[in-house]
Amino acid sequence: MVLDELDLKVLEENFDQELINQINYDNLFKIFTYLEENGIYYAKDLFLSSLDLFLLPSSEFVARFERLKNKLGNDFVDKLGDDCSLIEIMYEE
Amino acid sequence: MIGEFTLDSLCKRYGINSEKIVNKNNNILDYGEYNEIDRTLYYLVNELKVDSFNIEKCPSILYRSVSNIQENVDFLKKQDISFSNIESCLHVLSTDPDSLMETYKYVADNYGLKAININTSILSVPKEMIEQIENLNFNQNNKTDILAIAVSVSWGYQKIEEIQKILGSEEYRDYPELFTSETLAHAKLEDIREILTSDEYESHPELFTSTTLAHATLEDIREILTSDEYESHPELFTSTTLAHSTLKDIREILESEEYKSHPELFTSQTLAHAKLEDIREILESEEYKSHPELFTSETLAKAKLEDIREILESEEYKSHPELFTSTTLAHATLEDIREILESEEYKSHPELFTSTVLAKAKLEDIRKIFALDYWSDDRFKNLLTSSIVTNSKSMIKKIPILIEMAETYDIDNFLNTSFFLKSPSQNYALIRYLEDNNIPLVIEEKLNPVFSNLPGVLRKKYDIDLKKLMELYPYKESLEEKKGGKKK
Repeated sequence: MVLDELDLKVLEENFDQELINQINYDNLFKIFTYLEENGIYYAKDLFLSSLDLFLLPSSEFVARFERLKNKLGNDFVDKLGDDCSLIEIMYEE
Repeated sequence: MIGEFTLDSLCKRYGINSEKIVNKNNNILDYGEYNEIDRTLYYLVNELKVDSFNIEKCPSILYRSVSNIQENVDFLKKQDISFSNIESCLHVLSTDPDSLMETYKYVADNYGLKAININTSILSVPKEMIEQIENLNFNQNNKTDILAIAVSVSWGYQKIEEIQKILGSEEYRDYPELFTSETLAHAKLEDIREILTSDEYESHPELFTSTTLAHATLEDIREILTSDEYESHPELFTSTTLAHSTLKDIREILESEEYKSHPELFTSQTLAHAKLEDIREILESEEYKSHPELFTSETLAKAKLEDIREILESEEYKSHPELFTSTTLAHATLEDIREILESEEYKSHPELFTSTVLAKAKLEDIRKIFALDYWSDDRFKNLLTSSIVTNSKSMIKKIPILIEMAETYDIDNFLNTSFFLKSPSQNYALIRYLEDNNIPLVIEEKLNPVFSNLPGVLRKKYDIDLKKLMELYPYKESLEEKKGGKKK
């Protein structure tokens, strides 16, 4: 994943520097690979708006995303892309 | 001077582990006096209620003057900073009170209170030292980098002359991205030069970040890169592993029974941050045997068995087990969790407090988010979500900007969660784009759906390139507009 100047601007407007400094590239790579395998073509957008979720261990992220998939059904890619607030499902217990 | 046995009996009276103290800093045996240590412990434990963990990690506080400590505490308690930061940074209380007050005022005036809350250690640094670092006039990403470097110099980790040498070097000019405040605070030019001209750097540049340069030597890196361990498990060796671990530690882990039976628990993060001894203690514990689901590689890398045990035995865990996941265990202390669960904020909105909130958010920030007037306003009262509470610290700044923007463009009655997830620049660009193209911002009493779409979807479905719009309608412009009054 390559972040350009505008991506960084969005990230810094959305999140505190302390949180941004916690990014673990190894973990991030695993999450992006998983999202790509699931057809999430807008993974970088999710990362920029929900960085805190991408700081979770990849296994935890995957478990939560699987829950979101189950809840949204087969067209989860379209549903989540159309309404980014559905990401809140990943915060539910 | 105090004997180990006497120190141990004294510490036991206050629930402190003297072994941890002596292991951390045995100067206490030479410089500590029974009565002085007793008075200091009495004050810290019985009056200030400081957690034993914080005292054990800062033994030098025990052989300083208790009157200095009291004077500093009295001063700091009257200031607008979080005392919990001081508790986890007790050494600042040993500072000469006049110097501490002078530094406090200087940093608060020039860097803001936030800087003190983020880097509380700065209070132990004399004001003159901060001015000396400022006078180096280097390009910093963040003004507070100066404070991080001042702490490092003040504690003897770095010398001003070394920073001057780095700043005047060709390496600094040619590779500015590698020189963060962390590098300036810790590295030596000679070591950096050796790394940047090495074959290792040429063949694996991805492994050399500013953190590697700040903490590792070429010799260590070379040893790792030529090892059998690196050859057979390259995925375990990231720049963080190289920066924080030695080959000896890594080898010990990879050869261990623990690694062989639970390889899934050993990631590059575990290798970089955990010691085999600690991992072994966790894997042999009753806690691990009865709750294996709570122990992930993250828990192993970040948590201590003692803390996990305390959490699992607590009333809080027994009454709210659903809030305690492996992430909570890896990031939060029982004290933090207890404080959150006893708070008014939790009692009024328990549904917003998920395990992620407990793991990632601090009560101090949660309180600030809940204290915003917006949530009692009909327009916004349903918009407070778990993601906002989790990201309280960032949202405190972002939400007022977004609401002001929404009011400026008369969409404040129609806001939704998606609007809060996008950044001010993104929302501003969309608003201006829709207006300039005579597309309504609100459709059938709802915010135009484009505000809910992720940028990738906007591009794919509507051929709207949000990045281009951000360049076309830079958010900075909106600040100028705001200065001139609301746009109607």
